[in-house]
Amino acid sequence: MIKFEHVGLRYGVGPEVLSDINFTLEPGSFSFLSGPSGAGKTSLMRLMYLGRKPTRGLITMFGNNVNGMSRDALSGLRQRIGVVFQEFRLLPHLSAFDNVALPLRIMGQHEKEIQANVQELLEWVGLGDYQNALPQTLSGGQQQRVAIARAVIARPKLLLADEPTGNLDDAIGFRLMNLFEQLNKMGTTIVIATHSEKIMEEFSHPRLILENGQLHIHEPKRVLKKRIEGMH
Amino acid sequence: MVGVFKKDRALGVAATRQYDLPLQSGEGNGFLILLISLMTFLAVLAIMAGFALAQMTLHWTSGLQNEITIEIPAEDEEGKIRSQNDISALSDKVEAKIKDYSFIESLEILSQDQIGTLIAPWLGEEFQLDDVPLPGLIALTLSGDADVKALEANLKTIDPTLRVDTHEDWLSNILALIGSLQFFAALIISVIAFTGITAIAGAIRSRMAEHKPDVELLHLMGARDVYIARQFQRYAMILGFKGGCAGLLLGAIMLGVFVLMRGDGGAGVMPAFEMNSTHLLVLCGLPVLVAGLSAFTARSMTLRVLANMP
Repeated sequence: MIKFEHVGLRYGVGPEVLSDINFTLEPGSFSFLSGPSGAGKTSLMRLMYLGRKPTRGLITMFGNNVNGMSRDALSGLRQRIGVVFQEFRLLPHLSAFDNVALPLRIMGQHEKEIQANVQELLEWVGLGDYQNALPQTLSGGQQQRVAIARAVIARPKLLLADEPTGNLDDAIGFRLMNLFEQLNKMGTTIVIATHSEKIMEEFSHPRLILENGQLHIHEPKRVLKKRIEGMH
Repeated sequence: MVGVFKKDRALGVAATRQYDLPLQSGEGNGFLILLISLMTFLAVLAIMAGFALAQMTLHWTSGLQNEITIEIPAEDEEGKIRSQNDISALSDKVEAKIKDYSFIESLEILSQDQIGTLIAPWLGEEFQLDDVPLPGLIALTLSGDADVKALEANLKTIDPTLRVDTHEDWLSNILALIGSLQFFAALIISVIAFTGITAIAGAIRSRMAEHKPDVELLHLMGARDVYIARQFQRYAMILGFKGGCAGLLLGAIMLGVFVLMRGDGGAGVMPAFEMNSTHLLVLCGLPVLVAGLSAFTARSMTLRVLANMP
């Protein structure tokens, strides 16, 4: 699904914020990305959602080397990736409905299907009554749910979420994590950048830990145990 | 909502919906419309001037092609003023001598009244023609193979003061002047178009900078460059059309005022300008052209800026 080989990233002439990153994410995997503030989590996410080109190394996504792809092909690739941004990045002049519908409209889906799908998802995230509300009239938690709905509406193959539960209370946070789990079970590869030990403990998945621009992979005991059981 | 999409699709500017970006609510839209309308207004004036000059050229060249005038000067060789009888007698001699030339298609001896009508625009209607010694004029229409030099040499045997005016001297000067005026009109139109394109390109660039985070977001969601460009294209097209219509209206009012103010002044000296269907078509098509040019500029600029995104 995603393969990073000796990937490095620097901004301008500054030092490398990511250096020699190597990892592979299998299709259908679920991973947490963690690390202290400033470790480069957002930069790594940016590379994964094709928001930047690496300054060195090779990135392979969905079996394609992204360095050699045309702009249109890259756009097609981006349509298969859902992103929940840390700062939500909702379009302020569009209603909650239109914000969520955006990926489907970009993909050129018919308005009838869009209506049905968006309504259903907004109901599911508890915002059925706020379809026409502009983002600035919604609370932080509600905005985050709109952002999550927007990221998952097009059934992406890869879902990247940057602190998706940061502004939510525990109950809604766990409910959304369960949504991610369900999507994962349906085949979506998921990477969640989070600080929350509680969530990482509760939902036991491999962790990609970034420290000083270097990546370490940590598999929780429960995951290892499952794997060993699977091998037997 | 569905109706809006239908309208967009019919316009061919949006495959699925109207705007993801709030371009139409930008603050500088009014200014841009005003700018485009002023550019269009100037273009209308320059185009009309070009049309008038073209019609003038056509009028003069078609009217004088294969036509020459034989002039019997008002003074004889010794500087004495010729009487009207002398001029009539000389005119008759000329007619008798040349009427059988095969290349002369028609011959007309102009009466004093006709000559008076010709010079009236310069001297005024009230002027007493009896006070002025007038020359004799004979208008000839020739066929294509006329030997004007031989004709002139033959006329000189009647009277050495007789002159043949082929109109070439003054006509070539006038045509050169009109040609240079037309060139300047075309130059002005080009400068207006260039200025308009630059203004639209600048406005699009500034809109893109204003909405950079939103444009980036669409890009990250997988929107193709043409999808984003289409929104700017449609925005510029609508502004261009509005500005074009306003400019055309302004130009039409200005021309109407000009025609009213001009009255009959210059009639006779300058050929009257009459608008034909081609002129109307070009002028009515101007807002469409401005809209198309605006859309094309916006599209090119958007694609150029987007090319810098990863």
